[in-house]
Amino acid sequence: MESVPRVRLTPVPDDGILVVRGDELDAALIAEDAARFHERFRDWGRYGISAFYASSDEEVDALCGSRLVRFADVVVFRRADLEQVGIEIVPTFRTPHVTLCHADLPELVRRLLNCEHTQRPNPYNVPEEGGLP
Amino acid sequence: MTDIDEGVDLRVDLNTEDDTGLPWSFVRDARDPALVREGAWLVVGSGRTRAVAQVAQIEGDLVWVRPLPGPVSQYRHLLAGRGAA
Repeated sequence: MESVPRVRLTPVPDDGILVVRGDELDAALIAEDAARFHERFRDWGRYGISAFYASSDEEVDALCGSRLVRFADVVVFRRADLEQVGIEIVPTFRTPHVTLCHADLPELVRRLLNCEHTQRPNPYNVPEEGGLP
Repeated sequence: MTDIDEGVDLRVDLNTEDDTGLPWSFVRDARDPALVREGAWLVVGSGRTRAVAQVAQIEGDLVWVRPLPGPVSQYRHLLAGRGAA
């Protein structure tokens, strides 16, 4: 089992100006997910969470209707804003997947929460009747 | 498993994927690790997100799942036989 993630040889394209992730930004969830990533890919030395890049709102919409359809909401960042707060955006695994990462877990969480973003309802998500099961 | 994972058999961040293209987690993140068998149908998710998913592969403590679209209630019939949440 690989102890580092596969980083794609092709970088995130210049027009990949948006980064989207399902669910809301929650410090506890981010910390849990990033710690799990760090444990699996222990030789990479970074804490990370999964997200997807998009070049336009139309591509965000396409992600909402496909890969992120199970999420009632999505969080959308501008790539430039993530880079400005010191979050590394690494193209990992299959396009358009990226890992948002930092070497320090509390810093990853703090920087993500402080990064400008928008939370949008996912128009393709079918809600659970009566709330969560 | 934490309070924020109520109703979940296996805690999975459904954003995750690797080269399998599937979300992954650790078997120990299950409510009951005995539920996690290849082919089993489980309620997975984290935070406010839930999905019914089939366990696609287990390798050591790593588990990959194939989630279905739509609400959990749509697939109740697939969950018969698993322990009550």
